[in-house]
Amino acid sequence: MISPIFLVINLVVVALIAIAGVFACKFIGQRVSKKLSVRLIALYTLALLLSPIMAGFIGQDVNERKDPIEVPPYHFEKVLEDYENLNLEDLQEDEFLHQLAVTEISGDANDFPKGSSLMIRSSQFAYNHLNNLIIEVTDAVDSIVITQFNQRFIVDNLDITQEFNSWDWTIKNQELRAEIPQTKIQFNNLSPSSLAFHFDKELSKSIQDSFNFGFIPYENTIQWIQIPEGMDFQHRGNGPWRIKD
Amino acid sequence: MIRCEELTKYFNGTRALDNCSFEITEPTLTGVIGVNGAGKTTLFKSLAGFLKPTKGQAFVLEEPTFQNITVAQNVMLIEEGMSFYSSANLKELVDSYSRFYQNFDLKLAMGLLKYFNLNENAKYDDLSKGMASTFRLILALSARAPITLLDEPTTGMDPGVRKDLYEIILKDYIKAPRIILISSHYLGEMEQILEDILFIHEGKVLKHGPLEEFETLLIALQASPAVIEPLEEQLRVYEAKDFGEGLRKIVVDKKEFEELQLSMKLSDRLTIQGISPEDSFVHLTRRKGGGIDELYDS
Amino acid sequence: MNSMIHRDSKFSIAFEQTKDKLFHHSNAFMYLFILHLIGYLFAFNSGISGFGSGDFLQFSYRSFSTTPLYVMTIFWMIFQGSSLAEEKNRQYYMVSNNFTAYFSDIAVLEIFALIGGVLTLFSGFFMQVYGTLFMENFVLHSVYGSMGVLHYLTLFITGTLYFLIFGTAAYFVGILRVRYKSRFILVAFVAAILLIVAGLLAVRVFGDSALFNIESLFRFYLDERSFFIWLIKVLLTIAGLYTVSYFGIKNMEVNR
Repeated sequence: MISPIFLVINLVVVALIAIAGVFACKFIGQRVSKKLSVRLIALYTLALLLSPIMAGFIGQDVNERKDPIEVPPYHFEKVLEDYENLNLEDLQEDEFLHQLAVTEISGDANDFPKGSSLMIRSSQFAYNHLNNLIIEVTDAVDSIVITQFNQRFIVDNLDITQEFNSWDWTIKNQELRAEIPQTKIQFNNLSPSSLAFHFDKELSKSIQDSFNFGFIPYENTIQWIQIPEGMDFQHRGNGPWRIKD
Repeated sequence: MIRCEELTKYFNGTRALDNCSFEITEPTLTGVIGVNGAGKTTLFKSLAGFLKPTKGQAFVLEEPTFQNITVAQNVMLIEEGMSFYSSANLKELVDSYSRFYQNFDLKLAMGLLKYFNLNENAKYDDLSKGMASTFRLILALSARAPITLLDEPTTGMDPGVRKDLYEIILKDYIKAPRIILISSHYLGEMEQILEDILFIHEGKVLKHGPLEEFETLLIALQASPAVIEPLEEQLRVYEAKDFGEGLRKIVVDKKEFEELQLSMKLSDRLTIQGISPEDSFVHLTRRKGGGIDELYDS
Repeated sequence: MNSMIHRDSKFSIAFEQTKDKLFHHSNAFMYLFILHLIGYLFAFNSGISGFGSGDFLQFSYRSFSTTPLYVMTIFWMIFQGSSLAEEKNRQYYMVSNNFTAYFSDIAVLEIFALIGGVLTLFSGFFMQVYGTLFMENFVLHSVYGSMGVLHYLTLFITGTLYFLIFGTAAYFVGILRVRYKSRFILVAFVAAILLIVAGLLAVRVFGDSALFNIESLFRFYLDERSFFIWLIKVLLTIAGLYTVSYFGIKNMEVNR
């Protein structure tokens, strides 16, 4: 049952807004001619009647988003359980991962003085346990290539993974470093009035269950680092979780 | 056309009309005369169908008036308390009324607006008291309703404008004869245009008839106190005044005096004068009991 | 003089009055426009629901809907219903009786409800266009993909009939206020006390299932999923309000 005080306060607020609205309307109404009123409402009605046509031209196609997309939680971890047998192409074909960026570090950065090696300190990323690193030594690349995969981030059946910022990789003082820029995602969503689903229980529920983006609205990445064969490297720290030869 | 049968109306215990009965069957320009609170407005509102009789009935076109749509479309009532849409200007109001009254003369209405220098784009609420009265009268006359009720139509008007308006009422009546009832307490101004008088006092119809009957309703008798005093005992006296040189004047009902058959006997000692309808009205409606002299002299 | 007498039917006069009232109340459309502007202001400035994961991700969204437009239109209908019930509204018309006044008032309210229904129906498209043109990251809810003609028809019919219920209820209350004047407040107070006492007793005797409050009153209509049963409920409500309004205005004197 609604608390009586809450109800009374709400009713008072509503009544005050209504009274203020009535005074505003009367004040303005006395200064506006009938002609102007009718013309205004006619213009407004015309704008409204034309809006479906405009929406058809410039609006969005939501038909593709009718069916829900379910991304298994922690997929970005589970997929790496069999990392020994995993290839980069496998991740590229994974339907629940999105290849966000490929960073190639080439040129002088790769030239190390004799006797020194590339340092990879996973402690830089270790505190953020929602990201995984996998280091692969391969002859397929001539320089260090880092491919970032993000677990698909779905909001209201809309894939907004591409909104994430990719990590900035550099080599400084023979150490592979990443700057992780903050991703700010804000979007504006328009829902239809629930009256439209007055007699459609299913869709009525779907409106209420909107923004089902999984229980963790976090960025989950896999950073696949390919080191050219022959390059010396060391890693320190609790990660990376995987090293593939 | 109009018939009241013992029409009685109470408002919260106060009696406004008391067994009012009268009938009007032909076109007429009738003055409804009475003091403030006599029941004139209540009578008009009952005839227009606004009020439900407490007892008795009012009929217009042989139909009970209360909430009767046939009555409503054939009766036009104007009174000071009338309201109009505050957002409408005079022209819009005239147009509105013309759509409801089938006999409405739009050309006459616009002509009268112009004649009285009323700006058709002005709002009714912005008009002065006199101009508002003028506008109401313009509506009433232009509507040409078979029964037109004008309640104090000249309120707030200058004497010159009042004279003009009475002339217009008469002209309009001649052009479109119908039942026009005009209520007022300025009988003197209206006398020239009226055919009949309906005299109301304390909710009752005291008299209804041609104007001429009112001209001979009361008479003034002037003679020495020795002659007058015996008469005072036999007749109802409306007013008694003493003048110098042993003269006393009383105002009495003419019929009552004629019934005494004394005029021949007293002809050399008694002066008989007629009383105007307006003065008759004043005498008939004067409060019984102590007069103003008593109030100041006591 | 007999040629001056007219006997038009009350329906033709009521029809004339309806047209006249629409003309003289056309400023009501200005009020609706203003209220809709306020509605759009509320709609597009709804609260931000934010979720942050700290340093790496700040995620937030704003959810808009046309609900404020519906609320504003309901306010408008209540205002118009009260305004039409005002005593002076019946004093404006010489050629009138309570039937024609009532008939034309109801007709005007129905027209207003229809206009409200049309405008609120299309306000969703208007918001779509506005959002797409002037807002960043503007997306439509996925449920739009499942909406068909029937849903839009439902929106229109439910909106219009709900507006009519509010407008007629306000009209009925206004008629009672006009008819009973100072006694109205006393009667309203007594009626409220009686309702509360009746509610408490009902819960005592029949248990929680007999709980009745404003929320349950709204749910009686809003939770109905069968169109035909809902339609019967709504039409019966409207018919009931029409009936009590008529009895409220019947035999009312015009005492200006």
